Amino acid sequence: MKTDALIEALAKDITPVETPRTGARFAAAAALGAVLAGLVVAVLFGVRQDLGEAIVPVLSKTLYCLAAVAAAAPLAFILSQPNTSMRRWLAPSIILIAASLGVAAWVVAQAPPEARFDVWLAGGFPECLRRIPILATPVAVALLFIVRTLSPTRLTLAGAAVGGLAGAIAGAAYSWFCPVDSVAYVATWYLAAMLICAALGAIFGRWLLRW
Amino acid sequence: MYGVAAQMEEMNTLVQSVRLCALKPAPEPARAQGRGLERSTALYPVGWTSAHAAPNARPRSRETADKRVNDVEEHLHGLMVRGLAGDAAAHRRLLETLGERFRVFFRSRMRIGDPSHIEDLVQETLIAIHTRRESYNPAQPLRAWVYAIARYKLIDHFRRTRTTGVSVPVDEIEDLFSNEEADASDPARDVAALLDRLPEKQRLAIRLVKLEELSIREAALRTGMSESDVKISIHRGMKKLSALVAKDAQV
Repeated sequence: MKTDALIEALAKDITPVETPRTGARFAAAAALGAVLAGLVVAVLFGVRQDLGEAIVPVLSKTLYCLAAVAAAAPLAFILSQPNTSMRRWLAPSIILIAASLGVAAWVVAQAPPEARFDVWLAGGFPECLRRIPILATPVAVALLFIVRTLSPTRLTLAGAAVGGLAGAIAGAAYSWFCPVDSVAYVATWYLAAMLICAALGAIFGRWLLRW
Repeated sequence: MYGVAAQMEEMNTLVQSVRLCALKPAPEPARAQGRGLERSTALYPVGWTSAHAAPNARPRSRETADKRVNDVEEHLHGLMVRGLAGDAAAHRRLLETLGERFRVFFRSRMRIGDPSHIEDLVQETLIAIHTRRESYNPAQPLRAWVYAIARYKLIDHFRRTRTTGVSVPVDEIEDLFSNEEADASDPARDVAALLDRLPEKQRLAIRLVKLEELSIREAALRTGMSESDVKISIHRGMKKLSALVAKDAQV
């Protein structure tokens, strides 16, 4: 087909396009993901039994994850669009990661030497490393659908940011199940789980985000 | 995991070579011969061509160049906004102008000068811009947006065709012109190899009807498929075969 003919065909019957509501669509996908993750926690995992006494630590963990959401969401949105500068939006995520690691190290260092391992690991394998990525999957799927329509041009980066955001949203839901309240644990392993989600997003984004 | 790492590696070299291509200034006369360029300079004597794409254009003061670039941005942005509002003529002019710009853009970045590939890329990019214009945020610069899409399409093209431009070491050039009898293609062998890549049902149907020249009915009886099933299998198989051939020809 000749390019001129193609242009003719494309421009023939165009309908007015309303002002793009890309941000709203992106936020709606994130909200849908949050609802899905919340449902999985409520129905499959089960909200922790002692919620009444533990409401303060639970909410603190939720807040921590919401801070991660706030850091990752603008970055993911920016990276979902062609040729936008992410430099400005990278800082919050970096600060959050550095602060988490700093707090974890400080808390562990404060603990008596023989208790340090317990403070850090809270006994055994950190369950959140497995459950947060699982929870993040439906969130990521909801987000990827929208992100594809925004024409991302840096697929690996966009995938990583979307994965990290999905992990943060999943973490906020997971905090209502998680029985561990140790600060060092949350600052290390929640963060690690989100970074795992980001890594998975980077790997799969290259394929799933192609358009 | 190996596959992923290898792909990433490959992408990196790809991106690098794209960048290298972008850095390499193309000779100006060669571009000026390209179709559409004369038209574009006639329509838009604003010097976008020189300011944007030709590092070795005749020197100009920086402010004038910046102003011209801004003029073009404003002009195209205006067309886009009017197109979004439903103005078909503005939208067509936008696509025409961008088509000409993309042709230059792709030509200067592809070392293999297959004109049909360049035209395909131009069209693909135009289609992408047309279908995705609803996700364009008018507060964003338009040129950045459209060129990011063009660049994406270019990288995607390299990824699909697995070429970064043809570069053959001199030592290996003789292998390209092999005249051994064995290397000449043998149609029967080629067909058999291609058929092997089809699903069982399609392979069987094509072999019986097209190669052994049975009737549809006989083939249906022989295989136990229904007649319409045989027909559909042949149709799908032939379509797939031609796609395979086309793909092989590209590689």
